[in-house]
Amino acid sequence: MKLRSLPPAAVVALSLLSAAVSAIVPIPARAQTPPTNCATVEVQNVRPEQGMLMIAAYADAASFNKTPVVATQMKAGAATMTFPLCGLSGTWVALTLYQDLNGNGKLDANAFGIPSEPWGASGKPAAMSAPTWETTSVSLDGTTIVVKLSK
Amino acid sequence: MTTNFSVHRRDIVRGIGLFGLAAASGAWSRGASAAASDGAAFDAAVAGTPWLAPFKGVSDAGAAEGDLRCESLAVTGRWPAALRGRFYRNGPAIFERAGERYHHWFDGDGMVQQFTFSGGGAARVSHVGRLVRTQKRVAERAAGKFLYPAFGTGFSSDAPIQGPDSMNAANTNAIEHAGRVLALWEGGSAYALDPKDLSTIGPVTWQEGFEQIPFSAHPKLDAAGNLWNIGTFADKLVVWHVDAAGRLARVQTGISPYPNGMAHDTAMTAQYIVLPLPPVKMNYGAIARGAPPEQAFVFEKNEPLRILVMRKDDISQRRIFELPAQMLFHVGNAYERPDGSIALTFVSADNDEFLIHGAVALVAGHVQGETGSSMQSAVLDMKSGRATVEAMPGIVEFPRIDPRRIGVPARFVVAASNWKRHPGRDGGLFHGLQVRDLQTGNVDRFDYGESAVVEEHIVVPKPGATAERDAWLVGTTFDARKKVTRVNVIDAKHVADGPIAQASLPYSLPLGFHGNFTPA
Repeated sequence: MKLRSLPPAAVVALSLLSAAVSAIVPIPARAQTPPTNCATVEVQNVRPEQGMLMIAAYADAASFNKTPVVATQMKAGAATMTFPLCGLSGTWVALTLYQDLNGNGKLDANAFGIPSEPWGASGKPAAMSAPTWETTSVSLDGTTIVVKLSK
Repeated sequence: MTTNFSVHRRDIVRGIGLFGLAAASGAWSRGASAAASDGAAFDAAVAGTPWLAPFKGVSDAGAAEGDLRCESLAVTGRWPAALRGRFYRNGPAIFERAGERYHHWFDGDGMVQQFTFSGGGAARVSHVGRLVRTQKRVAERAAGKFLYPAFGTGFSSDAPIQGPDSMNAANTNAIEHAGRVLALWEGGSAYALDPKDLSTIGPVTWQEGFEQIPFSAHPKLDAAGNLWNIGTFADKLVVWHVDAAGRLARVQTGISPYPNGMAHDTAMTAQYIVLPLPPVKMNYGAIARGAPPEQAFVFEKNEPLRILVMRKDDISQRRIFELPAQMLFHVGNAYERPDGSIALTFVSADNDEFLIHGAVALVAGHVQGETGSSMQSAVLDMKSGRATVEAMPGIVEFPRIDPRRIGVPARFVVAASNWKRHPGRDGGLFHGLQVRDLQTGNVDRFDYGESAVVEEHIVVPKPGATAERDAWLVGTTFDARKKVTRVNVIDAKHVADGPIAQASLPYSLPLGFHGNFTPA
């Protein structure tokens, strides 16, 4: 699967307890830098062959859910997808993902801001709370990063 | 009894055998302050509190998946020929997997009970009990352990959460409406079941864009068959209007004046939704991280009990009334008085002990405190914005009224009640039933006795009658000596005489919360 950093992939702040999902923030295009660090990502519970998998990676707490270091998308394939994610640096990374089933470029949510498309994050997101850097950051040490999309 | 019954019994026995296994290894952790209420501890505790045996719960292992069935209950007394229809109840039924137990009564996965009253001369009563097939329960059954945080118990498994329905226990109420049975739960979607066999159809989305928005557990039916309901989530609230054909007529959303509270029940009048918002802050995130209910649910004594009155035709037109801080689960009824004020009855306690301690102790097999709740009568002055309230003596819960009088004046309120200290019961749960005349203050009551746990009794009007008291009171009791559940029929005019008929199951059911009757 060919990866490239894409301009305006959607970045979404997920919240289950506080006020509604924030507006979608378009991300400015990033210059293509040679891949300095790659991680193997395994995404589970993908709805096979439906829409696009949207991925954002963050490098630190300050930029978490604001400015991704990598934002990319790929066609949804099998229920479990494994792929390299490159362009990372440093020792920690946090990933947030969603599956854009209807191809409208954003994480759909219901009238209360609860996501109505599959979503997930790295690490161990605490139930009933928005993912934070603390709950989602994982070590960039060669271990496969597993993300389970919600069912 | 049919042969089906013995098959289910084998599965139940096998399931209970599974409960004896050692606790699952720590693929997931519990909060440090969680009480050690595993299966063995419960079994030891309940040996001394036999009336709490139903809190063991059921198992959904095996092909029967927990289903219970009895073709013909044993009927004593004279079952009224005109009492014909389907009586539903819902309640938490699964409390244990792989030796680990839930901490709170409200956690258990819902099981809907359907009692069919054939009526006629040789009246027969049959029973079907089925666990709701929620996504959550199906996943946990497959995994053989709890995966998702519940109302009062946290687990840190890595099962992903989509939204409220990932934790939907579908366990609080059951009502047949527009050809389907709705299994209701405060925090998420209604689950639809087929009334023919209680098979689960699935979660109900009333309108695109409103998936998983809470459709709470206490909707109110008006005389025309419209179903009104509320839902709350964080700082948001929703008011649903479903028409008699089961289609969404209108949904309105707004902001709650008391975010992150518990809005369990609502009343309504001809023009208004009357929604009590007791001052208890619910931090479900803390529960999910392992905090016990007594830390995560906080009764804010310095806040009022707010009563939010919203116009049904435009919920943005609203008033907020304030009463002294009290914990409220259930309403009796509300109606508009000739002078424009709103009369509201409800059941409340001046503390949240039952929520944070009592309902936890029960699941562990013992009693801590009582509900401590009694009936209140309030008047909300729509001109001045002031509210007054009067307390009525007596410990009660599960208030119900004549279903034809929801939202208009009703004179009588039925409730489960405690007035005796039966030895060894320590005021745990209810031993009796009462009917209160709101006009005169008179209370008629019946004591089912020290080995009976009395559950909600509903009012079933006698066909062809219009007077409020020309009705039967229908409800279940658990007989702790015989270890069976009975359906009781009391004549509302002769409460002190006790049941005129009883239909007894050969097995017991988990204790439940609420139910309704559909005449046939």
